[in-house]
Amino acid sequence: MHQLTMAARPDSVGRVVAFVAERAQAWSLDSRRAQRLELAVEEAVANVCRYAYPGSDGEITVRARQDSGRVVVEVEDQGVPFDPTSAPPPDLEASLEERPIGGLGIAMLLELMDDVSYRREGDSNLLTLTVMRM
Amino acid sequence: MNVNVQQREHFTILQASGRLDTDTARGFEQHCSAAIEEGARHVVLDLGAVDFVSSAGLRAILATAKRLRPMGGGLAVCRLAAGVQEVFKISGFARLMPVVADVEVAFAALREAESKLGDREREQLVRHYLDGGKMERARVVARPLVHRYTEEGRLDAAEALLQALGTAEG
Repeated sequence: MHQLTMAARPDSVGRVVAFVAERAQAWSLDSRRAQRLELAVEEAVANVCRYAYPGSDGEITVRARQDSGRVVVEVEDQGVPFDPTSAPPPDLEASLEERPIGGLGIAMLLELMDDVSYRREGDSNLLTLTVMRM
Repeated sequence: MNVNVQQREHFTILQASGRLDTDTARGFEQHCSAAIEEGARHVVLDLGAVDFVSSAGLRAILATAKRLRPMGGGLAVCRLAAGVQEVFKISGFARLMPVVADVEVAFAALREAESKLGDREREQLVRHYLDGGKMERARVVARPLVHRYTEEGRLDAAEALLQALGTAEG
């Protein structure tokens, strides 16, 4: 288990994504899947850093682990309860004029990962992202 | 994230490189805004050297496309790496704007879009070229408008446009 805790601020996102990218490379995840994982982590972490702690400071912790079949990344925060797996999907069919700016990251994360699960434990949001090796 | 700007005919090519993500999206959007302020209307975004695009990057691209549309301009994206192509596909962005193989195809897509401009957007574009002293482009873009006004019997409007274009015939 590898773990990183940062202040939940937008300027932490790059560092967290780099941490996961290093793990994916160290664990020989193929580049296509590694990029999907990086992207999903960026979306999840950016979401926490922007919205989890409105008007206050907080932390984000990311844990990465692997086994023979998969790489799993867990994103934890103690912010407002938010379950991305039940967020309403954006209208991907909307035209350019109708398309609101934003609302896309979560939909992309759900699409890119082999499995996404959410649980609330005490004061924590725990989002688990799984990418299969094959 | 670096953005290199090139002009070819009336097209502006923005050649980006690096990552287009939470850290860089704002700076990228500022590059796009600066190009528009300097007169870019038909913009080709060359992502050939971009290896990562997140939703923050997509938002910046969408904001730029949305800004160009009412000006009679347009945005086309080209030379996407496989991973970036996937992002455009799953986000639905590939349906929002031309996503094509290379710069030449992007030019063709923007020409095609220009041929279908509504009157209001076309008028905006004509005014832009007139203000910039680009009379040749102003005449090309204005031609369908002159025809339309004449057909509809709006001879004053047609005459005013022709005067602005500095030519006696349409």
